[in-house]
Amino acid sequence: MGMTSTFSPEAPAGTVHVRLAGDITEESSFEPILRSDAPVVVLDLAEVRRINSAGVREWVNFVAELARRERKVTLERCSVAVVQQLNMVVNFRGNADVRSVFVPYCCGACGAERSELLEVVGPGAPDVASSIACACGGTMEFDDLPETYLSFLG
Amino acid sequence: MAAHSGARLPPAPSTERHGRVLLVDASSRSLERLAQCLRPIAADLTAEASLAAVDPEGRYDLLAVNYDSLSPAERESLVEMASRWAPRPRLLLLANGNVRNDLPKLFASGMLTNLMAKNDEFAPQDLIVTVQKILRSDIFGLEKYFSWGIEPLTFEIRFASGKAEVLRTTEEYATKLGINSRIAAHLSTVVDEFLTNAIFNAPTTPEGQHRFAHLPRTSPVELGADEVVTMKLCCDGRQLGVSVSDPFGSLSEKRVLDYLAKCFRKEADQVDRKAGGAGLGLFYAFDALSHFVINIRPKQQTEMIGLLKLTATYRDFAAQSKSFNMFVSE
Repeated sequence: MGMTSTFSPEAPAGTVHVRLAGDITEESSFEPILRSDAPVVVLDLAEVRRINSAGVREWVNFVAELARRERKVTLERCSVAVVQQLNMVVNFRGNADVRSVFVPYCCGACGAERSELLEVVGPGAPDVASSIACACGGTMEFDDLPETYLSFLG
Repeated sequence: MAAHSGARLPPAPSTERHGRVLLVDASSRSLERLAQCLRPIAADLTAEASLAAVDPEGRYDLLAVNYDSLSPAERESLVEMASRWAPRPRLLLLANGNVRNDLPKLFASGMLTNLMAKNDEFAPQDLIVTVQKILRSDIFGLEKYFSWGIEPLTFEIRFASGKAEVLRTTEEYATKLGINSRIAAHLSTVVDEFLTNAIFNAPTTPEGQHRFAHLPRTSPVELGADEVVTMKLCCDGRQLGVSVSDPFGSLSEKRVLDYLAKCFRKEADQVDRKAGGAGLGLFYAFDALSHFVINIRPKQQTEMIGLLKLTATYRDFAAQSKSFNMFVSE
């Protein structure tokens, strides 16, 4: 599934707000975003499904170019796949601020999977719920390693 | 069985056995368990409780060490000691997830070619397959890691553009199995990286020059009819497996270890800026897999094998320690 970029027409003046979706790979191009001269760039990454190694380099070059142009960049609604890259690749974040991420849960009773949005800005470590209710009546447990999932926050 | 300074172990029932193996484990119970597994397949087995007790003049084909049982000082001296031996034995570390912090150093040493996961205990079947491959040099084949009777799906790929179709089929395969979506995503990552490596990095000229490694990964590379890349995919309910084999054998042990060391260091050079690949593919595969195997017959064949243990939740999958093996056969 190739990457798509959808520009929000409702972004305030001076801000470009882009929703990225699909897989970030060697085929992905960030040129349309770089063509904007807005000083503030907000990237909604909720629908980013997978990122391969070639895609990571495209991304790292992209965020480095945004930094070189002194754009203020915010990553919001980072999918679980994006969080994984934030933890693995040292330059993935560039100079961007991370506003919010999705946190994965899995139900032990029915196997359902779901992600919940978590704000990560502000003082102190964000509070990750260890479990949430599942629609089946069971309990969904946090489905990653608590000690490492948000390690990119430092 | 030859006499050594360590425990002399009784001979195994008669079978064809290969190689001289040294086991080091501070836990006597664990040491005996290891010996039980390896006694039937090693021609000569010596067991020691510590590195200090090892005969410095010993000549071994394989040094298998319970890394968790070593003191910090022994961990420091292990690589140095093993590298002094001539000929150098293959090093096999049995370790839980805590070894991850030491991986940059271990990979950089050039000695760590075999790492065996120890989740509470090691898996005897995985250990036996690994040691047999080291001692017998019969290294190729995804089937070695699966129960008899499992028939893999097989794909042949000649065109870089064919990767997308194979990835779609892989996703459908994982969906039909009903596995956790993040483990399924790991499988796609591994297939993607293995195929990219086989199509772009592996092909060489007869003189050994890489033909396509410098090209952007969007280039329309086409391999010759006798250069087909073969991928196999299978599952036995216990684990998922994928293998990608190329007929070039151009990957070197040093290159693998250098790239893994660079990526695990997580410094500014982690992502390559050179033309061609990002230099992250092996690191991504290592991270995504429960067990990553690289088989190399120089100038003839490279086979990458990825195994993913199937667990009900991703958390259980991520909590497991990882295995890594690199086998080189002449």
